[in-house]
Amino acid sequence: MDKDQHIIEAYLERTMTSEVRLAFEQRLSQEPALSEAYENEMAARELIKQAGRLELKSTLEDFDSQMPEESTHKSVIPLWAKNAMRVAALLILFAGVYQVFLTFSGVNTSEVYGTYFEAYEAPSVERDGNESPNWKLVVASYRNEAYQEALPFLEQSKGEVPDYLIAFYTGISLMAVQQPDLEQAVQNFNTVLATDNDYHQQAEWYKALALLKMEKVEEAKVIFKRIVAAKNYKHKEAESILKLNLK
Amino acid sequence: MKGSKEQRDRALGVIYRSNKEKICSFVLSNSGSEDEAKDVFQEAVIAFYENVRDGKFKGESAISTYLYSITRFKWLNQIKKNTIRKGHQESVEQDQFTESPLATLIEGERKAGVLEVLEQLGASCKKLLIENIYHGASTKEIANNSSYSSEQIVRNKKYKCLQKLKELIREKPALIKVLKGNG
Repeated sequence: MDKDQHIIEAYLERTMTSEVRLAFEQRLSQEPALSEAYENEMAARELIKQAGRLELKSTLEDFDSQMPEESTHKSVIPLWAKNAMRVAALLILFAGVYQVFLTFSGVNTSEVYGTYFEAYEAPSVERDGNESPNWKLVVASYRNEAYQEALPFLEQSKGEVPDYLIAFYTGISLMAVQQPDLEQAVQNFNTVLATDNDYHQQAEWYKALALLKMEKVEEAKVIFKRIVAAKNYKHKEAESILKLNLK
Repeated sequence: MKGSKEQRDRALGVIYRSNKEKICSFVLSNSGSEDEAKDVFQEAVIAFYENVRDGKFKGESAISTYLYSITRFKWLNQIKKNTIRKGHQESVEQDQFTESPLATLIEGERKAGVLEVLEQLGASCKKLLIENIYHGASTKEIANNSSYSSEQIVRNKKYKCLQKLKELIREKPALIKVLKGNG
């Protein structure tokens, strides 16, 4: 690499001392050849900057094409949505009838899990007063129901947010992904329950559901009973589950 | 957002998907079309990325608030430009505004010129220079995340690629003018 090229690069990448910078700037004003080389280097870097932006724009277009089609106008409800609402109403009615049916017939634990499991509300960056960039990505992924994407960011948030918070949302995410890891989820809820925090009731409910899905019915029932007795989080749901004839 | 391209894209994907609808609705409710809303939002994401890369975004506000502010600024600026352009066209009957209305990304002939040079530069040089100069990855990081066997090899390759790029640009005086004025 020639000497001038090296010094131009160091100047543009700000890796030289202020004294050397000043000396270089003086040379620039006095040496036309150096000045031209500097201008050419700047032009090359500007081209690369534009190329980088174009490439990034193309990546964003890819994200866009992978997103489900949805209208950003919400004032008018399209016909298909109205039809979907009718179907949803029928499903709700059906769910009520189905609940009565489940009470009297034998029901397997997976069905119960499928009926009652829903991911806990997304964490709040503001409420938890946390400025960790990784945690912001956890919140964004989780809100977007991208639980698989949230997991590595949860891992990277360790040391930046309280352990119980990471354990709780890791547990939920592990339950919500396409191939749940329930054993790991239970371990995470145990971590939450082992320390003093505000997530005990929620962790108990999700732990019981995970145990149910793992067919550890008796262990799950003990927790559901505790939830009902203390009128804790989701106690009505726990009561309904206990009334079922679990297989 | 530091790290490999895969890690960077994963983080950007989350940010993009979780903010697009909410932020585009600002443009849509301020007389923008769906395409304009998407364009200005994408420009905002690029500006956000560059601010993170340059250490200008310190995480003092939520990402969504930050993106919303950039989008709002860009869009209001755009409306102002459109108004000036309309007035100007009415009086002079001449369209002098050939550059991108959003001014961050190059368009038209400039874009074609850049793409032509990149094509001639070759994929490996393009990739290396974009990683190093645009994304700010060090030669060491590039060596670690790619098939180059050492940092020194990356440095040598970068030097050769930059020399080749400058030669290619030198053959296009019109492009040099644009690039020097764009800095």
